[in-house]
Amino acid sequence: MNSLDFSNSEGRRRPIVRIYNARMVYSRTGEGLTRVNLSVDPGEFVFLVGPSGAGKSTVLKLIYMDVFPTEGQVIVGKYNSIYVRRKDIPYVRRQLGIVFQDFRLLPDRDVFENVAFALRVTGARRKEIKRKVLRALGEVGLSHKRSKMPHQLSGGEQQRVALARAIVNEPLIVLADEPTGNLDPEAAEMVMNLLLRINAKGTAVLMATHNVDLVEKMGKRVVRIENGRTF
Amino acid sequence: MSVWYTVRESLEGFRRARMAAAITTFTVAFALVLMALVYIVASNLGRVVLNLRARVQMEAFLDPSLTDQEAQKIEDQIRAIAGVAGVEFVSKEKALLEFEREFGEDVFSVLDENPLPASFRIRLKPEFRRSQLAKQVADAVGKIDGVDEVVYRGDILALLDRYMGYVLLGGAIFGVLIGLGSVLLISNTIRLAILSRANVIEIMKLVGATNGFIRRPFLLEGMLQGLLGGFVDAVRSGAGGQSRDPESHRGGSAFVFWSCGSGLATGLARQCRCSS
Ligand SMILES: Nc1ncnc2c1ncn2[C@@H]1O[C@H](COP(=O)(O)OP(=O)(O)OP(=O)(O)O)[C@@H](O)[C@H]1O
Ligand SMILES: [Mg+2]
Repeated sequence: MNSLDFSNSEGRRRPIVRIYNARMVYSRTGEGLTRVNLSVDPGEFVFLVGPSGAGKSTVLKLIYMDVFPTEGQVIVGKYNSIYVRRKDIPYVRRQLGIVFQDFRLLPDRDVFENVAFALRVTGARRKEIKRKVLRALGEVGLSHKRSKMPHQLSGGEQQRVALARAIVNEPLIVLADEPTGNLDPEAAEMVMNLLLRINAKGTAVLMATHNVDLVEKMGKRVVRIENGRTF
Repeated sequence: MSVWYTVRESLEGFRRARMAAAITTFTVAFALVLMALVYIVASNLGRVVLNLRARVQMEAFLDPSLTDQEAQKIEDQIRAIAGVAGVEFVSKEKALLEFEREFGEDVFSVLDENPLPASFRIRLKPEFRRSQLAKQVADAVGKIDGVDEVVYRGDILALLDRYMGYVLLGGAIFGVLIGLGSVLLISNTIRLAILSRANVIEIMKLVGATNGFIRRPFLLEGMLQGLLGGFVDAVRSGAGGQSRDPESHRGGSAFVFWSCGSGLATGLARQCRCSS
């Protein structure tokens, strides 16, 4: 499915993300995931599709360790959901780039600072931050809007800023939860193309969506989820 | 460790949320003003009471037939009584002078001889300025041969003794209520400030920020707001014309104490929220 071969030092392909027989119950509603298995290799592009309420967002939450499986386990890089400590979680997330349907930019600072924040948390040096932020903004075509505030941007532009923030840290994988859900077709296509380009440069992408037409057109690997079960 | 980031971020926090920062600052200032008010009222009340007690003087009038030499001996006896801080002899002549100065009348225009007796003015030691103990002193002085009569405003002392307890209790309750109110006011303002940023904190965590990284600028910002609140309070008390008051030094250290304290409280409250 992917032409690039990402090998680890042992010479074997090792998945970035593995979910084994995960069950997860939201204490409030009693719903969640029944049985999920998923593995994403380096450089892979995977669509996670299923109807509303199937558990797509919950699978992504398992990966960025916002929720934990009640049974089974989730492995992200060197972190395992069974052994991970609370203070490790920021470091789990620094290996990931996360994009949401509702962008989730920090409303109180400009585009540059929004992207820079993902580097500041790592304690990166100022020169390095500037270089990497400008490069990431260049990749999404928004260098010229770096001083704008989020509310001064269109939805499509905001999502591209979110994408720049997701990749600025050179993550193992980009998790995208319905990244085009709030966008008009034109902006949606632009964001979709950016995700493909990011993937072509070697970053794995896991994208949750219920847009089946789009998925079929792409010819990428598809994981289906229904009623909290993957197939 | 990104100290520079922390400092800049905390200052930026001020700029980004000017209104919220201003409200927090003035709430802190207001709470401090309230507490300062309680302090001022309480300390002034205490001083008034002490003054009243100090003004209560005892006067022992002597037998008019005594000579001044005989009176000197009595003075030594009075000084020996426990609770006596000082004794001042008022001779017949001096009593007359004072009488004339006070009433503006020449006694000899009415009478042939000076009718006023010599007396001793007795100052009590501070711990004896209570009605029971003062009475002991008065009785002891009254028993000395040659003392006719001891006069003092025992009623004032009795009044103070009887009601000061209630006043102090009332004041303490009032002070505690104001203090509690101030703490609640400050902590609630802080809570609202945190809630208004819950969304931002959530996003920061998703990007991989540690709790400490999120907390540090907030902590510093909270301290700055506390400091500014304390500063506003200090300016207020300066504008109140108390700058020459020796209390203002105490006010200064209280200002530092409160600003750091409230800053720390802010930070701690935020810390709790961040780690949940
Ligand atoms: N925070 C939550 N608390 C309680 N229950 C939740 C929570 N989030 C999701 N659920 C429930 O868990 C199930 C899976 O939800 P999830 O959000 O993962 O679905 P989804 O596939 O992302 O749906 P959509 O396409 O509408 O986004 C649903 O039944 C939902 O009601
Ligand atoms: Mg969802």
